[in-house]
Amino acid sequence: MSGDYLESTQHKYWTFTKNELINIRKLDAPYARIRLFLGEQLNLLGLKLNCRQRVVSTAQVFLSRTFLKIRLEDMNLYLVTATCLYMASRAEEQQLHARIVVREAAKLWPRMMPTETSYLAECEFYLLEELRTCLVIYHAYNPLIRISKEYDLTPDEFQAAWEAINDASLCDIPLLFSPKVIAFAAMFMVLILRPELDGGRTPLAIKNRLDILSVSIGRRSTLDLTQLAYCIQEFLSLYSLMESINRRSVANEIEQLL
Amino acid sequence: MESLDDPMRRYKARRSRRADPLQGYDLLGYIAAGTYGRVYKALDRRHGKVVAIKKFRTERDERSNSTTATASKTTDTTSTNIAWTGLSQSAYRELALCRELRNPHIVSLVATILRHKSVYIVFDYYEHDLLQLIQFHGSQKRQRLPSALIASCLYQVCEGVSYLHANYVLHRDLKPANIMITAQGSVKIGDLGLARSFRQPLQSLFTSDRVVVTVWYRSMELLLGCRHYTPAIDMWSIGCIFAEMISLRPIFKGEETPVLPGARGSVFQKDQVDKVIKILGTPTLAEWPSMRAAPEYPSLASMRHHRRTLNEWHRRCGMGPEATDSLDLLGRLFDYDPDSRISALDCLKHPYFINTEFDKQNCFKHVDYVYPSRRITAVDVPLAGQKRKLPEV
Repeated sequence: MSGDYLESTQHKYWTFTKNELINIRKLDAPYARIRLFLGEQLNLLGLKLNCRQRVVSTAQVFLSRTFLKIRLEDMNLYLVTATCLYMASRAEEQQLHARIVVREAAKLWPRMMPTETSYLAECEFYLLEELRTCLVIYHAYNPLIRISKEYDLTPDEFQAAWEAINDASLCDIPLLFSPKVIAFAAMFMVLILRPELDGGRTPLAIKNRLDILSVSIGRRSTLDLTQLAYCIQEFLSLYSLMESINRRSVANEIEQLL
Repeated sequence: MESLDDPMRRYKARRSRRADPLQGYDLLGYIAAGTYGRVYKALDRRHGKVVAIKKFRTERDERSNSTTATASKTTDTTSTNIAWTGLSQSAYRELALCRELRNPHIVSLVATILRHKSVYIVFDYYEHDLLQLIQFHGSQKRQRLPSALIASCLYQVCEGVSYLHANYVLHRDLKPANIMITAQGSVKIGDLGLARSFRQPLQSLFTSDRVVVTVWYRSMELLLGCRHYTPAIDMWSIGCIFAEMISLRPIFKGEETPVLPGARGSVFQKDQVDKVIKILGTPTLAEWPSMRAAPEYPSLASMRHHRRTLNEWHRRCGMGPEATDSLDLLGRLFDYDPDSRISALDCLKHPYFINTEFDKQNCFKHVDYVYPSRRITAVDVPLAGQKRKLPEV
């Protein structure tokens, strides 16, 4: 399903302003670092289970949405994380076996992950309700593929922008912005912060490209430049959190919640 | 499960204080049962309207049936009640797709409810379905469906399917029983339990579901085991529905060869293929070049050769020589080559719809009698018994 994004439940029910998110979460102060930590753990579990990127990214969005509906102390957060991956595998028609998800999660998070498969099924049931059974997720990968041709990204640049989109799913970006804005922001991050990836263009070629970029983006009436600027800001705070986070202390924090 | 070790105990305590949304419905009876579960007719008290509630069968825990006593002892020490088992993939699809899709010709989802270890989808209530209309004409009224009704139903189905295909969704189970009709004559496509997105699938559609579409409505490329199937499979099913409206019986009523449990791969549905080629003629490589690559092409080649008798079939149904548009559209829907088979969007522009008089919104317009209402079976549990939950499937 990927028809019209503007008609999607993602746009209608699951896109928020920054203030809305602050209001929803006022009780969960340590949210950002816990979310980032669990997001990284989810990536690891996805890797162990050989999941495709789209499955993992969908799981990340499920996780972010879930935390808008439940409190951090409500459920075992490792169970919630594993369940989101299991649900994403089903939503993306790449179904994993519940037992295998539980087994790998228990290996990855010994003592923390409940080992009974039925807990995963039970948790899935509750999360489906909390997510209002909205399971179709629009990611920024497709828009990135489209604009990468238009702006002539090198393979390295494309790869870096793709990874930036992966990173974005570990924070609020997918709850705040449309896939198109995220794709543009990811591309900007790469063009500005990773000039070494441009494949050795001549200064003239670089100038030409920037000209095309600024002219055509200015002309895109459907691309909200304020949104784009906000999205880039979110990227920058994500990367600074990634550098400053003390993972061990977050893990302890989560253990305290159990 | 209420032990302190329960990883969700605080959540469950909070959840148990929420109202049970099922309490807002009065059960009026049950409509039908299928492999997916059961459909009930109910009154939505809050909105004062009648709805259909589809309750999905929860998957049986196969493991607990088959494991030996020693194995279950070790796993069942903490929980004595029924183990939680996953929802069926079909429930997942229907939940996910019905949530996103919005079209006048697709059944509309009112709410989803997850309670009592079951999934319920609440839909608008539809008084009729196409199968019921066809059967009424075939057995009681003993006369053909009015041509305005046929054209209107077909048109509205094509509108719904073109919306699905434009949104990269294949229905994969179109048949008269899944075409709902309101008392006002508006046609809605239902049962998206087999539907799925075909845009950028992470694995081929064939890998995840080997058998799709009820055998009588299954297209030739599926019957020949093709793995890369397209929206054209839905168009073939529409052709079968069109033919069934014309003749009041399934046009290709084959005997399904059962798939043995545990069998690998799919089974060649020889009788179904035979029924198809007896009317459409044996397909040739000239009309369908890529047929050569179909896994079951050799099986087809070994079958008796038939010539095309669709014109005779059409005439036997009482369609005179003036009905060339209907015959032409039927032929295009039954194009063997999925690549050249007509699309839903092109159907809407076909001369058949220009030259036939019909109403695009109301299939009952120009019909001077009223069809009987849907038959509702009383539920064996009194309504009061629904206070806590709907009966078990």
